Amino acid sequence: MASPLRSVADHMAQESAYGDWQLLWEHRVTAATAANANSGSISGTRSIGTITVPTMTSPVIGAYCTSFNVTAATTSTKYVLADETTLGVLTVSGNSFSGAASMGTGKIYDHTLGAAGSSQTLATHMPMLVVTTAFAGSNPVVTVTYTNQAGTTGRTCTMTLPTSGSVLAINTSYFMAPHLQGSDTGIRAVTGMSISTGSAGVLTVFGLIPVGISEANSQAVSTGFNPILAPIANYLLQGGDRLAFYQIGSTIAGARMCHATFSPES
Amino acid sequence: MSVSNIQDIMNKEITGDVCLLLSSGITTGTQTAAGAASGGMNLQIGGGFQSIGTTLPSTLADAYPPGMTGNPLRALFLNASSSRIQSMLLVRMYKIGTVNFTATGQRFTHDAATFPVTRTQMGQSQNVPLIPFLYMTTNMSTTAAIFTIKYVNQAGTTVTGARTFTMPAINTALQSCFFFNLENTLSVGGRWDNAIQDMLEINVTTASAAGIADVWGMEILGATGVMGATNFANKNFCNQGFSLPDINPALPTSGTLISKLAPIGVGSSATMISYYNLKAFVDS
Repeated sequence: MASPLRSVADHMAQESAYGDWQLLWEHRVTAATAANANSGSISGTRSIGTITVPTMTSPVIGAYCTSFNVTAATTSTKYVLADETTLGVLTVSGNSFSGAASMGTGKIYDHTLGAAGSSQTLATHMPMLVVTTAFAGSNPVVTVTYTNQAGTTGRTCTMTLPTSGSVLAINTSYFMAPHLQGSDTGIRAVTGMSISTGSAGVLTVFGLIPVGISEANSQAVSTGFNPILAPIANYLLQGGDRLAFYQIGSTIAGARMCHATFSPES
Repeated sequence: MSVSNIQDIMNKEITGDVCLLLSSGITTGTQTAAGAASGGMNLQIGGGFQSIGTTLPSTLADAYPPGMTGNPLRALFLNASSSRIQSMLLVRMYKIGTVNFTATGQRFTHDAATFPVTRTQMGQSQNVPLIPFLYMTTNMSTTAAIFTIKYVNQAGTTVTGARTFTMPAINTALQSCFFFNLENTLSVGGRWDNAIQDMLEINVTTASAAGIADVWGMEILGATGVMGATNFANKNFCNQGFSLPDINPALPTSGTLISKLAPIGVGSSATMISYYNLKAFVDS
């Protein structure tokens, strides 16, 4: 086995043998409804569209995001590229929950091995409640029942979403972590969702595993930090995984130029 | 300690044993600028789960995750951005007491908690040196108050300060923050105090018609360094100088201590459009 994270020489060898996956794309975010203290405190937007990790064939076993940069002229905003899992869906009309799912298992790069480590049961520390179809109603209380990072079932997260003109804009994203029960820090699975009011809309819980982080400020500055040097777990992406792009800290719409590199492990 | 290497920390991230503290700073509202006789520079208390909005917060929020009290958290990564040139710090704030400027004389009321606060460092309990500052909770009026202080310095020595603090304006804006002028006479053979263990007295020599402030001491847990306007700064506690500070509060000598975790901007009185991101892992 060879890993692109073990050394510069290994990275070059992997690129030569199998080729890095380079992406340059424009991600569009729509205007979001602002969050408040009862709904994660930090405003967020899930972008229009997602990216599917391409199929990989043996001997390639997966790929790591080795760089991620965003150019955007927004104030004090963080951008997150994440492996995204749908954990549960709530249809507001009828207060109907469906699609209960878990984060499953996955691998990260193990510095002690110099390669991907053993498969582990995943929990997301960035669960996001997203308006996937515009909501109609006023200040709904949403309750999400989940299994926490330690595997304890029946935990609840309660948030009151701040509507604007009796609407929550589509793609508005709310950070759930501040509202997890007790001292919980993550979610393995969602087992139920309910809402107190509303006539239309769909809310979805997505579990994120961040693979790239970038920032922007009031100038059009391209930034990003190196996933290899930063203290972020290097997640081994698989073919078919879904990558989503989140704007955190701003409700402003617009286009964001993104570049990312993914390097294979074999 | 539950982790023995960096890989143990990375495993905690993938299994959900990390906290991501995201917060925005305030966007409008301006403090009263500090002058040479009032600490020299301002500080802005940002972040916290209730600090989003457009005005200076009237209630200080805690950036520590709700429900996490008692759960050992260690900082892993601090990231900050701002619209103004300043230094960004991650601090633990401890409330020492309050001061009322409406009459002359000793006007400081110590909170019930007994100082110094202590933390286990190098294997034993150590007194934590704190950088003291004022936080205005009621505006002054008519007259800018003038006072001196008496404190226990970083080395545990009781110091009756000779330096005079003059509030920078008659109507000091609410939520303005000012550093205290500690004794600094090293150049003439005296002392140079850089922190306190406790505040003992605030002696008002010129009173104001109104004005109340909280007295806080801050323990610096980490710093991103100075950033330029519309810029970013990061502190990687793991790979950029291995430290992993414990972000739980230090302990009072006795009593109940009011403490808050906060990102702090130092330098400007004008509000900053700022953003903070702290990642911490559960050390158990």
